[in-house]
Amino acid sequence: MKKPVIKTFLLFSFLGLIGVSSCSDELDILTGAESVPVVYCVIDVRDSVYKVLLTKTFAGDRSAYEMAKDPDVISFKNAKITMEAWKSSYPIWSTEFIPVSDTRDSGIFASDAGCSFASMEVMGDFFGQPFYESTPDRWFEYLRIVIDYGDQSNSTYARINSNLDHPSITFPVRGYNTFNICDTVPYRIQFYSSQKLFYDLGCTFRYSEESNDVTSKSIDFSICSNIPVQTGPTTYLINQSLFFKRLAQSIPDSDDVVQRKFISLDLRLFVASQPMKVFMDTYFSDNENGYQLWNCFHNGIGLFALKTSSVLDNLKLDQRSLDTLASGSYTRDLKFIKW
Amino acid sequence: MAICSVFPTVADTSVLFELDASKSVNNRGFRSGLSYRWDFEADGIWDTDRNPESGIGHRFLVPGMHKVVVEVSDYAGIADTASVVVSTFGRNQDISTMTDPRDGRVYRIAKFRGYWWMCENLNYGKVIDPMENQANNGIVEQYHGVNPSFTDTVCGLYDWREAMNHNYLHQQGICPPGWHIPSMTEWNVLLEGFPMLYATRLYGFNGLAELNLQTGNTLTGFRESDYYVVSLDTNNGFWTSDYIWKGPGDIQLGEVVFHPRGSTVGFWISAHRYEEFFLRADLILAKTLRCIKEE
Repeated sequence: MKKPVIKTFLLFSFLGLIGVSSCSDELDILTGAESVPVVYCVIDVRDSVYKVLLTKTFAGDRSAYEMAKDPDVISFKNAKITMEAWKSSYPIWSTEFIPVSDTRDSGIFASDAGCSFASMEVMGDFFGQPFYESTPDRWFEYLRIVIDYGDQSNSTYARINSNLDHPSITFPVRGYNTFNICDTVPYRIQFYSSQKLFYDLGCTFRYSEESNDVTSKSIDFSICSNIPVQTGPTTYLINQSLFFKRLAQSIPDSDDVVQRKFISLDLRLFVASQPMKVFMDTYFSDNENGYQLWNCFHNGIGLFALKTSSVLDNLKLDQRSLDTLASGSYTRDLKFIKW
Repeated sequence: MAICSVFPTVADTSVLFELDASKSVNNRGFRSGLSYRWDFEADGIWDTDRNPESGIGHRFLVPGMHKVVVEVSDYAGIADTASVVVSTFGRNQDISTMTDPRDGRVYRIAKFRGYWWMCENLNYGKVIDPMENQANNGIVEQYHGVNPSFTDTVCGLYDWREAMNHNYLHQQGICPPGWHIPSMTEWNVLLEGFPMLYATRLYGFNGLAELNLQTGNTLTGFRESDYYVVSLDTNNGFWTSDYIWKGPGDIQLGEVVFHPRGSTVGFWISAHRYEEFFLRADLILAKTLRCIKEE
């Protein structure tokens, strides 16, 4: 999920650049523009490390076109990022972040730019084991990110509620540990949602690949993103054509492969909190009004949301599904065998 | 109409306050087209230019009460103001040092809520092997606690009886002259009128109160001579002078624990701890000690 969203942010940044800098030879209205931090942070509080991607739109008193060439202008290496958990209006936990990578593709319109920061501590270190056995919102009410820049600039900050649903997947009635995607009865994923949050169904697909030698591979792909849900029980039927199409798009093509063999797969239901839902509905809407400004940061733009996931792991494919994997129109070129 | 709110309303000087005027409306009830400027000390001098951003973060570096004013203007130049009050507190400035006249050792001390507190654990007495007992022999004895994680910290670990100098009726124990072991009541002073949830920031390592009750320079020890010598961890325990005898081998001792992790966050006092092995020769619970004196 992360990559497309990051790119979306950058897309908007660079769309702005394209629109304006194309006229830069005649009138560069971005000269003297203020910097606008762009932040991406979607975390599972139970993760072993939290990450923040921080970049910016164009800053400084040079033209945007010139600034885009300079990686040091793009990133905030010296930013001080703090995450705080709050309860009863008091901060009960906080951690600082340290820069871990500074990515900058070559070219003016780089597809990926910014500095990734990793937390020095996570909440599980602080709250201890019980934290993992209960819902985190019992431990804190708000989570806040504050970014300072070591000068007189205003702080960038966002604060979100912790009321995140934790999804659970109901096993299909038949095929307890078998993913019978090609059965006559569609494979159902059932889960409960008390709020209209952002749900994404993904798959980790493991297989062996025989070329010069045999290697084990694993790929991740999304089956359905932003699943429409109602409050209450939700059933999602997995469309077999969609599944195999997404699978085929995710496995890299190679002429050297002699054959592939399915090993197992996991289904992962990912849920993210309200800011993620609003963000996705805003920027990935099909209607023309979808590009209205949405943002949960002050003195910056970006996304700050909580996520969590539930997994059905180590599922097998039934024989009919293996046959389709080997011979179906989307995947037959991948050279999967039927057993 | 200008409307202003703030989060939080009380915090220390390091915390960013979120000032929010987003619920303001113009005289026709709309929120669009408004601009905002802020006066963080209500001194009549605007600290920001007019800006369409309805929220701003600000830190108040001086402890005290602060009145913040926002002016909300619409396109026509019609303006209204609103204000909020926040309260900030800062780092304890009443810090000093104390020299123990018995051995010349210097301790950092801080005055807090009517008492001078040692900001470091007591490190006084003859260091003995953890396999030996701290005896009632007229010599103050200690186990040396050195936590490998905090190599700069060395302190004494004392059996409660040794800490009380084997005189359970006298609060001075083995503290320097004029100082004494805090009672449970005196420890409780730290909690009065303050949210426990805020304890880490106030009393923790390098906390604003400067008492350093958390990891970094506090240690607790446990000696079990059968198979292990001294184990140290950071679930810090400090002896109090309180106790209740319930019979041989059965005593309740006052202990204060700063436990910022686990199921309980913050600072709590376990009123009396059941110590079943208190009189067993092979098991000694050795803990750290802070001394205080009235202002």
